[in-house]
Amino acid sequence: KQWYQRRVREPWQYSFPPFFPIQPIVKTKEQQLASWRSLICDYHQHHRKWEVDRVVFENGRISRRLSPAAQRVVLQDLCDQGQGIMEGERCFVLWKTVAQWGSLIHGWVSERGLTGTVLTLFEIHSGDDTEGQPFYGMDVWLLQHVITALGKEGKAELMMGESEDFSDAGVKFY
Amino acid sequence: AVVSTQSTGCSKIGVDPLASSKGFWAQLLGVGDFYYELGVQIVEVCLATRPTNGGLITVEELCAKLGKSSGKTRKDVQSDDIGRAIAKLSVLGDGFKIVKAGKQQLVQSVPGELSMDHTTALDVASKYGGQLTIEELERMGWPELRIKSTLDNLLDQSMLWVDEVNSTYWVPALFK
Repeated sequence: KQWYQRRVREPWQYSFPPFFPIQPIVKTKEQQLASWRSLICDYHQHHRKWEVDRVVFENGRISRRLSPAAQRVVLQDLCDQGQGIMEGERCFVLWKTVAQWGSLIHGWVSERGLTGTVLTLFEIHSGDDTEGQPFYGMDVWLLQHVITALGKEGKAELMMGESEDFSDAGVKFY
Repeated sequence: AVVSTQSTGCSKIGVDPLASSKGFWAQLLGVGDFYYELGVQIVEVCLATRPTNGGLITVEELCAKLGKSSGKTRKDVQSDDIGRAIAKLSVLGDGFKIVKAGKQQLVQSVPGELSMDHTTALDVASKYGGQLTIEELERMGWPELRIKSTLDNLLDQSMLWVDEVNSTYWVPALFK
């Protein structure tokens, strides 16, 4: 399975068999996990995927994959380092931090002169106006999480609709 | 008098002794700008790669990485240039030396001596694209404790990684 496209350079570790079992020596493991974080972020950013795609954990060419236990270690480390976030069973990859996303979205809103108005979350992640933006297509749970974080800074206010899945939620930016 | 004769000699064959810091006079007089500069670049590459290879890098890989960095002199870097630059670096203290593994040369950039057993293990790994198995060391007549001690030592320094799937060890520096 060749998921790395030509433009994304495959890191040498991905073909290195010991990259897949978690290394027992702490110093080596730290380096290994750092490489996994970078590989995961590069892949998800390149393919614009928000939720972890487990295809990255496997390299059919060398018949190696991260075991379920190893995947948990890698994803836990990703989250501990602020490059991932868990929501129940789902893990989202943060190739930009929550703060960076908040800043980007708030910046776009300000530029368009939309502060003070109410926008739906849908407009932000899938609206015609946001199509070229880096946050276009963002998973709605992640988006509300980013907005909630902005809310703590007083820069936004999330408005819940009737459904719990945020599909009809809105936001007002300040 | 000697200088002027030599200068004449140089100009006869079309070499400007002062223009090339790699030339005859540079070596004789120790005007090693090229080698000191190269030494600095070698240190940078070694430090950058040390987390993954434990402080061992083949001269081949080093040349390739140096070739990518800026500078018009970089494409001239040969492996004996590396050797000369390392010799200058080692004057500054422990931590940079050349180690042989089979047909390859490695630059070790961490202090301490690699024992004969370590270099033998690296030798074996170099024959198999960086792969090292216990069987190979057993085949050389090494007792279990000696094997374990050598492997543990190299693992501790991050010069060796382990693939538990088939109990194989790998030297990242020698991996192709």
